[in-house]
Amino acid sequence: MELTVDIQHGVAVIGLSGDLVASTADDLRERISAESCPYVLLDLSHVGFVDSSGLRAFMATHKRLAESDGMLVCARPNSAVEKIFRMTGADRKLTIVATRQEGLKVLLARMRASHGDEGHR
Amino acid sequence: MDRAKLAISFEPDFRGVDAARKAIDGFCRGLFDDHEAGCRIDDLCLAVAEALNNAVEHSGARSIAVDVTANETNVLLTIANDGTPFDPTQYELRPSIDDCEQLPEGGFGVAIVRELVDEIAYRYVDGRNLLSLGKQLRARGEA
Repeated sequence: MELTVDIQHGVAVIGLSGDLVASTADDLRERISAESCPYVLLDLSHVGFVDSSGLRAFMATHKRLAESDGMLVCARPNSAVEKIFRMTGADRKLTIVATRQEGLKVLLARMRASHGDEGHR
Repeated sequence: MDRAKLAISFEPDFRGVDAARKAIDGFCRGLFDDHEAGCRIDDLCLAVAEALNNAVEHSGARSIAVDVTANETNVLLTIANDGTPFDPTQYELRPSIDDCEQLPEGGFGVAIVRELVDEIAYRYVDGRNLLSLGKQLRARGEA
């Protein structure tokens, strides 16, 4: 699995390319963690296939970021990836959007809300 | 009457699972090339990947084989491994995405397999797990 990282306004925009399966899922999880950024946008437009190992990687990343007051957004999944999200109920837990722009908007709003909270303490 | 067959065998590792899934995907798409069948092939390949992942991760098998046969409308796969007996048709589990990381071994994979295939059958014969998965890829009478 190939991975590109671009930091935009404090958000790690990570483009994934390939299949997210048992042989690649752990590596992906570690590489995202290595970015040390609490706000992550995963662009899935070039991800062809995700199995339950890949799903666990998404859920683990979602949980880790949420616990540190960050957020994960998944953008542009194809129909097969959408289906595994839907059939497992992951679509009720993950934030899934249709475009990168929408994903950035969601994350920037969360960032502002979080920093706004800190300003009031 | 069988239209085509494919036989795959590999040592139990995840790269072998990927290769097997892609071979099965290509085999099916070569025979069933319409859009509707494409979506069903996606489902079948996910089910096969999950079943194979479970065999690699949990069975202790030394070898895994997949036999695929296709007729005009259906594909039938039989996954054989020489690992510890495991019958996914008897696996009682209603996985929750909240427990994704704490599920008993293979929990989500088994649920996905059962959801995505039309037929599933299991036998343990001569020291081998034999899991058969069937899926209709085209309705009878369609071109």
